[in-house]
Amino acid sequence: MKITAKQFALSLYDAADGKTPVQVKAVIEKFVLLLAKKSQLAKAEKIIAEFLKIWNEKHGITEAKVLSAKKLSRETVKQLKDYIKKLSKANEVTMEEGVDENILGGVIIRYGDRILDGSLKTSLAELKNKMVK
Amino acid sequence: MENLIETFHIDWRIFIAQIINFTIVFLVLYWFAFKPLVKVMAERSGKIVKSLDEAKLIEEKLSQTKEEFNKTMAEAKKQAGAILEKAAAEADAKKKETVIRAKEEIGAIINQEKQKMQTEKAATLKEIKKEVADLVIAAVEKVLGEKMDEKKDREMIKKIIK
Repeated sequence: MKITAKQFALSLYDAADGKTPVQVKAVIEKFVLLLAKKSQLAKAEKIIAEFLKIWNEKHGITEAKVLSAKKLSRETVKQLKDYIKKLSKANEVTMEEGVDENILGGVIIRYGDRILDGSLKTSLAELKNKMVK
Repeated sequence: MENLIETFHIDWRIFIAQIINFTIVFLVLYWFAFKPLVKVMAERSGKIVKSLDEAKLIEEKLSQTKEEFNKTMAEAKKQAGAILEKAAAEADAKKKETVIRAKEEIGAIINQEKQKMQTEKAATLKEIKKEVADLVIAAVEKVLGEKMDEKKDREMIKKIIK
């Protein structure tokens, strides 16, 4: 039977959850050996991605990517984290920041499978569509 | 009587001979002239009567034929009239139908042209709108790009997450 990356990730999570860092290290070593034995090392990247998803889901962590036209201040970052935490009902938010001057202003927030586009560029595009209609 | 005979010097023998001569001549004439003549006359009379009868018959027939001819002509005229009337009615109906069809076709062409014009108008209008929108948005983008500083950007983000 073929084991999927998600199934591997779930097994790893079950084995590592609630363990001390030392124990976790041992679990990971054993897991890597198991993958090598089963010739599944090629799936490692996918397994890691699935593991992170499961981990975040189980611990109420939301990963978000925020794109802005200018570098965000600490205060704004905090406000955005609080906003995303409120929206996703998460315990914790990890936020990756990006800068793209082309969006002119505002922010584009991506978390989970959602995208909140509050950029000035998109607002202007919407305005243009309304004008053309 | 004897006086009379003496007066005219009648000789009985000559008289009898003359009677016989006369009878012979009469009989000869009767057999060879009068009888054939009477026969020819009778034949001719018969022919004439027959001809007259035939002429009468022809006249009757002619009259009858004329009547029939008139009747036939009247019938023909009637039929011709009916045909003409029918043809006129058909021509009229066809004319009306042609006019209606022509009107319909003209109406359809007008509608088609109207629709085409409306479509073209809408397309042109859309194109103009797009051009204007492109210009307006480009101008706004330029102005906002120049005017947007960190403070304004922060305020904008605040409004978004409010």
